[in-house]
Amino acid sequence: MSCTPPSDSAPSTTAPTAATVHTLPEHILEILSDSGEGAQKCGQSFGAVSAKMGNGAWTVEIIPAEIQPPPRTPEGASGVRIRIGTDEVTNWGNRTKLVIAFNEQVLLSRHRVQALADDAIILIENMWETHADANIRQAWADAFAELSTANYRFIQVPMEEECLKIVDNPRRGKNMFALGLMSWIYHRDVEKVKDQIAMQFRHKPKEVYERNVRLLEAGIAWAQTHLDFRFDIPTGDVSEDLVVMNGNTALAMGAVMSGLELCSMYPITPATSVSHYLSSIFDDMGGVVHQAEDEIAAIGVAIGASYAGKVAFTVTSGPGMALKTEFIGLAVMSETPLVIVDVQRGGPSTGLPTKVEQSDLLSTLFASPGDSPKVVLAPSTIEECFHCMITARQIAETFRAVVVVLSDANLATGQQPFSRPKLQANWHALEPNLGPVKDGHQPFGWDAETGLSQRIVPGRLGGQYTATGLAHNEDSHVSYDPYNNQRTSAMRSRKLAVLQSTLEPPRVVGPESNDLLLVGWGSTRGAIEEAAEKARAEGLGVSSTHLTFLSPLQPGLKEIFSRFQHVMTVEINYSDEADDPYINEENRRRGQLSWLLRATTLVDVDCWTRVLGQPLSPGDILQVIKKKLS
Amino acid sequence: MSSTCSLLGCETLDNRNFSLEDYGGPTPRWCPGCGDHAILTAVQRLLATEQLKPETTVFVSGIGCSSRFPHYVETYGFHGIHGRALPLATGIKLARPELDVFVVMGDGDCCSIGAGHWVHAIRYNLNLTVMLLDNNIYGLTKKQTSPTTPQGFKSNTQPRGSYLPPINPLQTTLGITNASFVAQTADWMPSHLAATLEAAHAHQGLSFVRILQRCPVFTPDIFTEAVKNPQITDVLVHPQGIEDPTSAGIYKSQITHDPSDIHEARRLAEACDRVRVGLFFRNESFPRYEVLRTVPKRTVEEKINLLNKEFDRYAI
Amino acid sequence: MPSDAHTKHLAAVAKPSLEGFRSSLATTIAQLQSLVAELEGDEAARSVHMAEHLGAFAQGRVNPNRFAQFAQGQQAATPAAAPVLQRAIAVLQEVHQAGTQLTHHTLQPGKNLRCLLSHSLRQIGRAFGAARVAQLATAGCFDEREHAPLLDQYLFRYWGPEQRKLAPMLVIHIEDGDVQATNLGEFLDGAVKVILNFGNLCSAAPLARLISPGVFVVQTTDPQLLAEFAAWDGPGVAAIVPQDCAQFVHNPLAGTALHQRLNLLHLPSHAPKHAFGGLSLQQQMEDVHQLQVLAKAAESAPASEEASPARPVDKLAALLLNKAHLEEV
Ligand SMILES: Cc1ncc(C[n+]2csc(CCOP(=O)(O)OP(=O)(O)O)c2C)c(N)n1
Ligand code: SF4
Ligand SMILES: [Mg+2]
Repeated sequence: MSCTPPSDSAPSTTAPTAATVHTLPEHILEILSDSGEGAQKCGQSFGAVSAKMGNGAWTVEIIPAEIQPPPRTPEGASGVRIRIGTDEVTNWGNRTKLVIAFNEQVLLSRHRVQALADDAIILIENMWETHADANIRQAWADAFAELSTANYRFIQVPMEEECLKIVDNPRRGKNMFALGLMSWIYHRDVEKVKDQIAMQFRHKPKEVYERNVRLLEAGIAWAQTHLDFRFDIPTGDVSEDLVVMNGNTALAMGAVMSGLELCSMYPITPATSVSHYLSSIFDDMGGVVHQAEDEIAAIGVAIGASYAGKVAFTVTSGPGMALKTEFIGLAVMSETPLVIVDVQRGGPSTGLPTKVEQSDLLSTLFASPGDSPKVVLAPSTIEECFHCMITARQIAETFRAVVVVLSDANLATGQQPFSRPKLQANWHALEPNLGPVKDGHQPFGWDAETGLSQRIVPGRLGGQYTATGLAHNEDSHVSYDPYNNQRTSAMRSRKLAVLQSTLEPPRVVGPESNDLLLVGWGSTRGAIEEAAEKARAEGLGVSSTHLTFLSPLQPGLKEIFSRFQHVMTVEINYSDEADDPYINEENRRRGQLSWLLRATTLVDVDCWTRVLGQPLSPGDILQVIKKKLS
Repeated sequence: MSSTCSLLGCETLDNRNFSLEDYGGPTPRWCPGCGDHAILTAVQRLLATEQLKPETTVFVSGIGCSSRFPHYVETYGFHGIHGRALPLATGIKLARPELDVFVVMGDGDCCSIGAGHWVHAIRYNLNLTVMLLDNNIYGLTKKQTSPTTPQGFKSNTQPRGSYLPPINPLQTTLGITNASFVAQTADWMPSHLAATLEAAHAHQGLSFVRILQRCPVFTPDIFTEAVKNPQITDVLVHPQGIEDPTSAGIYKSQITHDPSDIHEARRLAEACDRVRVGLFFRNESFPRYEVLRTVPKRTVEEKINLLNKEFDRYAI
Repeated sequence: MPSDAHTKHLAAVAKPSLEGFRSSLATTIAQLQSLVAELEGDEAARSVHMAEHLGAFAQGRVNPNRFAQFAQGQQAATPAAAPVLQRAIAVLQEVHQAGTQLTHHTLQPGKNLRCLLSHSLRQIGRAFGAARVAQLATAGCFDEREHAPLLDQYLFRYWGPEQRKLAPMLVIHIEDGDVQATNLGEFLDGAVKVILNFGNLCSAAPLARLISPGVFVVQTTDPQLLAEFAAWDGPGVAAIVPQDCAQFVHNPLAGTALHQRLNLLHLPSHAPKHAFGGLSLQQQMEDVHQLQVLAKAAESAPASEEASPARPVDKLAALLLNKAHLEEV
């Protein structure tokens, strides 16, 4: 095995070679560094510029689990995968075709999880090969031995050396140099890149901007002199106004637009950035982010505010949801409207804090003491992260219900361009009317058929009542009467059926009846639909549907399922494999949505799920489809 | 938080006159002789004295015998879950600072399961009137040891007697940053109780009042000596303190204590064989969270303009 | 006559508060119109309306028409309330359109300042009366005989605390007339603020008797000095006076003790020579005297008392300040 990488473009000072331009409909690239070297900023800037040029784009952060992982370790890999295309891009795709790596160890981490295409081009910092420290030289050699199992094309780049010509501390400059490389390779509009840099450093002195531009230009110049290839991803036409942001920012903006004026939270990855962004804008917009002492207090404060007339929300992730369960029960019992955002991460326990999973569906539905029916929505795109907040708040108020929005780490940190929302005043909550309460208006005057009742907020003359988590009657008086409890449980449950009666059946993408129906929910939509489309192109009978309402479920599922030979959910959560040891038809623990669908439709819904801590790839789903239909 | 933007959120000035009866709810279900009855009466009297409007007054509680309180007052109320009255009250006050919010908790509620919220609510220093109804026992769940149960007292969970010395709610509160009003009184001292509640309600900030409360069913003897023998009670007095001339004739041991003196307050709050009532500490200049978190009110149009500016930043 | 520059500047000072009031009106109108649309609209209109309220996420997923049926159940109002709401909306719109006519007035010779203010506040108050009617109608409690008069007038004395906070700042240009400012006391509550713009003539210290702990009172020749006054969230009166009148600032935010609050800038160099605004020379002398007494009381306050207002009068002032919820400023 060779210990030096086979490099076909060693640094040289010769004149630029004429680069071959490859025009492609899409491409996937990654930039990888140690944590703190700025690969994420660089990658996100590249994604934003690509979107601004009119490319479809989807970025996914590769996040180390620790704040200060040791440098030059596979675990410390930090970076971004960017998939750009001529058309809309809805997921992170399959394997990466081009990598810029600041050291061989971070590259190794991606190699080991088979994230890279076999023929990927890898631009790698070359300083380590000849490093003074023998251990580092050895590590480099060992890594290349391991990497040699693939047919990567390596290009050594003297990043450190080039950056040192401009800055003293290349750790703080390499990412801009790399952005220059990428900009040249992908024909990026340099002015737009500079605008992006200017925006990034808008709070810093002008010299900082200028230094970064010099680094960028150095990267471009180096690429021009040394590389023999370029990629051209033609841009589609951008006919409408677009914005590009991550799902957490979109959620925060949606919350403001929906009229939620209190976000009560406790920090937890990957939900926290909702509150970071919100904190930077909310005060000026008449809202408050309250960082409570824990997740229990966070939801308690939100319920208190909501009871007092201002619908509030709390944002958290799985472990926080677990702590909130008792209070969720109180909100359900006292019929206090409430919006809860759960940005799901890997579990159980502290699990994989920065990674994606869709494992909170069943706990959201069923955790909380007793029967506590609640509404559950799941946005499936970053755009929907914005819009779903408006719907969630409206449903919460109309139905006096707890509405849980299940997002996930993939939506939270991914960036995608989408149509700029045309903001409408009607999306905003109405202020509570504090007029007097009519004689005989009861705080829980349930309509016997629908379970709906009109809320009374404090301040209304003649409406005095005490909300309580104890079983109670129409007047909110504590009642231990057995029939009262049966009836009021029915009233709270009925609201879900009533809400369901307003819902439309989900849309089926592909033929209305077919061999296989894939069913998904949340952030996996893009990958599932892309895989199903590819499969159809290959002549396979696959359709897909994506559920955005999970409680109540959209109607008509049983009928839709009946038109397909097989129904299978595709999810990012754990399920036993049917052929695993000890596993049989009866004891198999299934994907969470399939569990739910089997129970509600009595259809034999199969599942394919993974908990790799990463988004699903269309290619993997395609394999699953083929296996299922073979 | 911002107050309302719409005129539909406004009330009119009225000339109603409220009597004690206007605040009376259903007959309390507390045991005969329970100290909670006296506290309820004192609170209702406060409402009448201050002429608080029933529709803008809210009582918030957790779970316990004492937490049944809101049901018995003819105002708005939120009978929450065990230990969590303070977060609920915080939310109410943040959303609607104009409401008069009272919090009622038991010793298990406040000092055990809700202890985390207790510490932080004191620090937030919202304008709330907080009452700890301390009977030194879990009443509702039938005689389990509470954090304030005296050492050696036998309960159903510690039948050989409570193992540890009790927590001292006054000292604990006085040790928390931003504590702005700390007082103690007792259910069997009606005029002192009334005067304390009045001062607590007038206080701008979180007023923490620990009320020693008799539970004749589970802790019949704990306060017997204090009730029978006024000599073991010290009343803290000061021109800036709580004035209760009515009981001065009975409670002759008076300690002059300046309530602005935090060190002396902490010393007086130390556990000893005396029962000390009165105002331990007060400072109205401490920051109040709902004041600090007041934000401008924005109309929907203004918000849309501001949000559009944000979208510009992310525009392609 | 008040100078043009002054008039312009005062209009600018008063503008934000009027804008705030009008935006509350606009919010209320929009809210009521939305409700009326819901109550009166046919099914199709209601469905469009509901679709907007549900937002884009609901498109194709939630049937707005069916949803609207349940959303309407959340309203105590029935379609019968719609005509009443329309009447309330009409009044709110009228007040909204009146703009500066609501707040800028000229006191003509022979007229009475108190009457002018009372009239002006009554006009503004119509909005509150209309909102009240709307509240009653939406709650299903509207009674034509009892409540319809609220649409015509709504006296200041019925204004609730929030309403008194919402009152826009009034600007009165004074040509002549009965300007006995002591009569203004009853209006100085909530955040009611009045600027009196005197021309070349004025009594010696027209506002001296209005000084009380929670009221911002300022007499000045320079309208630029009104920034603090405008920012103050409580009641206040300001007078723009000619050169030789008394000048002072009484700022409740400056402290709880009188000497902290009151800053006497200038006293008239000679005794008043003309009766003005219904005030005799004797009365004007009394005003100036009152100001002197207050200023003296303030000066003689021992330094040691600065921190805690122990004198009964200041204790009372402090108490009143507390009651006024000044901490919310
Ligand atoms: C989460 C939770 N844990 C336990 C309980 C049971 N519980 C109800 S009240 C109570 C203690 C009540 O004691 P205290 O707070 O002192 O009130 P008291 O009844 O003495 O007034 C307990 C443990 C509960 N309701 N909820
Ligand atoms: S058990 Fe004790 S605390 Fe509870 S009601 Fe009875 S006497 Fe009161
Ligand atoms: Mg107890």
